[in-house]
Amino acid sequence: MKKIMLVLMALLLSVSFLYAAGEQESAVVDESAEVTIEFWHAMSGDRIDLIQGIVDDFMAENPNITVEVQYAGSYNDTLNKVISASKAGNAPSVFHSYEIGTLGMINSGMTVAIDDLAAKFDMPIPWDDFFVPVQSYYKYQGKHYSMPFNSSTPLVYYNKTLFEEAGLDPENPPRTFSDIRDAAAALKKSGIDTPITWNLHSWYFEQMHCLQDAPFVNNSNGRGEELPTKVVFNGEAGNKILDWWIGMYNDGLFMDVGPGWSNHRAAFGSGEAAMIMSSSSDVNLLTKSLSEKGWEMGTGYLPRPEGADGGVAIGGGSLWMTNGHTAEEELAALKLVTYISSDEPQKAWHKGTGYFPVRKTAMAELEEEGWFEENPNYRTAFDQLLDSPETLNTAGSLLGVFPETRAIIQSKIQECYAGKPVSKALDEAAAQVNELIAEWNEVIGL
Amino acid sequence: MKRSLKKTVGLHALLIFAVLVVCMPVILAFIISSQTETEVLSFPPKLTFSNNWVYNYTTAWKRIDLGRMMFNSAFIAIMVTIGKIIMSLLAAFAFTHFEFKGKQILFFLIIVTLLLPVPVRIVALFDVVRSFGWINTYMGLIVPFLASATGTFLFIQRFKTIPNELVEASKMDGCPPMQYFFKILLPLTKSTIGALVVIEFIYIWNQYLWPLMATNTDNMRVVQIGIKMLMNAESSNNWGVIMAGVIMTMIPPLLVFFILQESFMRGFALQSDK
Amino acid sequence: MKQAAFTNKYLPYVLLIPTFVILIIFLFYPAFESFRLTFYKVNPYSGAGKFAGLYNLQKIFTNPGYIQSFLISAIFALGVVGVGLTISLLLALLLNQKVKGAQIYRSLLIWPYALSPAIAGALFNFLFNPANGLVGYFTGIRTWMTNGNTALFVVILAATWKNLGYNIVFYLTALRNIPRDSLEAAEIDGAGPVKRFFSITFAFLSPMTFFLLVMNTIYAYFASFGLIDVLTEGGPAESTNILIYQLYRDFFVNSRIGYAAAESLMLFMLVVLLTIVQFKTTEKKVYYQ
Repeated sequence: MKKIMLVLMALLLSVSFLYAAGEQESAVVDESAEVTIEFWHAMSGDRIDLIQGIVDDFMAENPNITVEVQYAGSYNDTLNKVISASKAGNAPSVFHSYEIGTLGMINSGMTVAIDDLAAKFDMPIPWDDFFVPVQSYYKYQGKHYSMPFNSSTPLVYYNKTLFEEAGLDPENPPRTFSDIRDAAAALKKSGIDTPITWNLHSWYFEQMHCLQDAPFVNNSNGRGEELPTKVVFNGEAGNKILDWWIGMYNDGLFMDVGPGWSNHRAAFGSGEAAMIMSSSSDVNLLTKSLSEKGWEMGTGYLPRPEGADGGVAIGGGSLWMTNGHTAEEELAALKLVTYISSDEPQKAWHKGTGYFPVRKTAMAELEEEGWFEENPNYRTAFDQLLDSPETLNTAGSLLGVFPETRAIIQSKIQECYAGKPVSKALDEAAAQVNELIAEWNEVIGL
Repeated sequence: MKRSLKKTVGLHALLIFAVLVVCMPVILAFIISSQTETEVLSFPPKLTFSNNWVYNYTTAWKRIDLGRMMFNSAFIAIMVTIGKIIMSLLAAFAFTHFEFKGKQILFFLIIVTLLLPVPVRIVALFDVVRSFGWINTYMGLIVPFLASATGTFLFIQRFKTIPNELVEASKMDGCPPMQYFFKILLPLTKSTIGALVVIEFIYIWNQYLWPLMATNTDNMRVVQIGIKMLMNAESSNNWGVIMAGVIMTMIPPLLVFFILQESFMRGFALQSDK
Repeated sequence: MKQAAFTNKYLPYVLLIPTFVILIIFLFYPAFESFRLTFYKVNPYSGAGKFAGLYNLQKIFTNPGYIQSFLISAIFALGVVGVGLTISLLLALLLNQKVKGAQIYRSLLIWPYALSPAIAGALFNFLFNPANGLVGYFTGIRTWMTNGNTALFVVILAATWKNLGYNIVFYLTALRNIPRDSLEAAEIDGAGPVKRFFSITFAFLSPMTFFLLVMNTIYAYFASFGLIDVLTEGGPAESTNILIYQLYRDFFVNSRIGYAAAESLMLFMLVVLLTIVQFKTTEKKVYYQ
């Protein structure tokens, strides 16, 4: 009887000690409580299974946590669904958003900054281990808001076999606007109908601002104390980009083979196009489709105007956590996103897609495995990013109305295809966007 | 007046040609849904059946949980169809067989609903449904569509063509209104009901905008959204799988259409009778 | 309306209650509220609003994107009405001939009515896609969906195809209701088939044509959302961005609540206009979803 009492006392003591220990921390949660959270992402095709696999591993490591993964459609679809679910009170704990949604999400009042959650649960995120361009994109006024996940940059992909046939050096990809032009002209001469193509997307236009170290919006490229009030893409940098782009189009060197992300890839895969610009996350897919035809593929940096000394900003997406959940759910969400950004999942993700790992340790491990020697094209996107100087402009611009801005820019570029002068088109686009910004800044403060 | 043989043959040829052209997109989709990805992408295109049926159809079915979506669409369509028919029958009965205060105004209000298709009120409809907690529920997909002018008008038209003597006779027999409604009116309305089943089932099954906005998880999605999801999910344009999904989603409304085709035609015919 | 057959003080109201509860909560109130929001600026996340007068309407009329969308919708509707009615009238005339198997032909021609705009979008996307679309292969033109004008043409084609069945059914019914004796009288007068068609058939069909004109316009403006979303998403470069798609984007993607409300007000005006045309020309019940 006495023994039992003793054991009970000991138990009681240890429990209260644990409790007290917990007290000192900023939040008390039962770490082993059964908890179920939802995770919505925007990656389609084979990537659905890839993400599911990563999450399954996470659940195996954390048996008390159940994660319901859901592919929620495109980034836009996902965002809309999250907004409506959040209003209805059933937002997923974790969701995946594109980089350009960042300022909107920060101001939406429906998300929790990852740094705040990390402090709450005393689970600091090792930001030093993240590549600077990656983590600085999602850092706004000193605070990280979301967990970097799938990161990519735009690249030039070229068909080495066709390059050789056209008398071009397959080991020396074109680097500048005029390099691309010359290469395209040579390819055209050798009988290629579509020397280069890319999808009509504002992303390239934005990135080429970064390459010139030029801002896209005012107020420190959207990262200053005040919200941005106007766009500046109709300046010299923007004109330089479109003059080249439209010039290539008018001369039949650049062909538009269709909207979306599959048409230009298909043209490249079939050999119809000898070069394309596309996301570095396509490297896996494109390597496969070219090797099926027995061709060799090369990759190069995104081309820039002569003399430009900027770099690229990252594209892709990050993982956000929403508010309105219990501490247990928040902790589970934090653990999940931390896990996804850790080395093993990032390596698997990189190999399966071409998105690069967000952390230096993961990169070092890949290096050690000899991965890049076997797959040099997987490396180009990295090198390009690491070659980029660190400025506010290469950190990427933040803007609340980015999705609409892209639609407007794309529509104006299309008008340029039909003959509208570049500078006029850009001025019109800027004027339209500026009106939207004014309205957004006003309503967001309501 | 007999037509010449030549003319008859010509007529058949024309009709067969028209049928082929109209059916072509679906025939091609059906063929493609039997092919492997390589066959779909082959040049010149292969236009004959292949044997990849099982893979395409099962992949489409699993990729987006098509079974669940088929159930959702069917359930919603059936509930709305039933509810709408009941409500329109009752309303039409009230308007045709009774005199009451405010009849003109109420009838006018029903006409006004013609001016208010979903897009016109979508901004606030979303908030209303949300305030009921009905976003992402069956309620939110069913209840807002239970009342409509279409059904009411259709039944009013039908009731008007039923001879007065029937009402008079049953009144003589001391038959109360609801008994008359169930015993006499309803049986005479069968083909109109059939027509409305076709119209409403197909309308709800084919709805796109509202379900897109009012649902946000996979288990509440409907097949129409599923088509887009399937196209997005098959990012490498594996049309065999996508077309397999498309073929499966068109079967239920087609079944309803073909089964009730005769009453659908008669219900319409009646419409334009006068 | 019919003479009152029964007298009962409460029953008619009881019969109408279910319908009117739904109408008030889900039709009249939201419509009213949408119009009210036209005059507000609204925070998309919190829903907080601020009176803004005619701001949103003024934005609409000064936005070149909206005006373009307005024009595209008009072209789209014209295309759907023009092409759709012509073809379906021709097919209905064919089907109206006395011929063996007429029922089967009819079924095979009208069944696309049961398909959805989204399915039409998926089918035409497959046929016309630039990478490996069959139409691209057989015509040698691969740019159907990448050129704004041809993309709009394909969208019109898809929308027309999907609605053929609906139009044929109505035209067939109208053809059957043409009194035999008028046609026979004309024949006795020695009128040839062509003359007979234009002087008699066409005249009898004109109320139905007006009716279908309105219905198809409404279909083009309101029911084509799924088609656009699956086939083009409004592209390339907004060339198929009809008003309903723009409304969806402004409301749901761009979260401009007040502005979207103003857009729905514009659509409301359009329905009012069409309904007036409808009542004026056909003096018949409106058929409508």
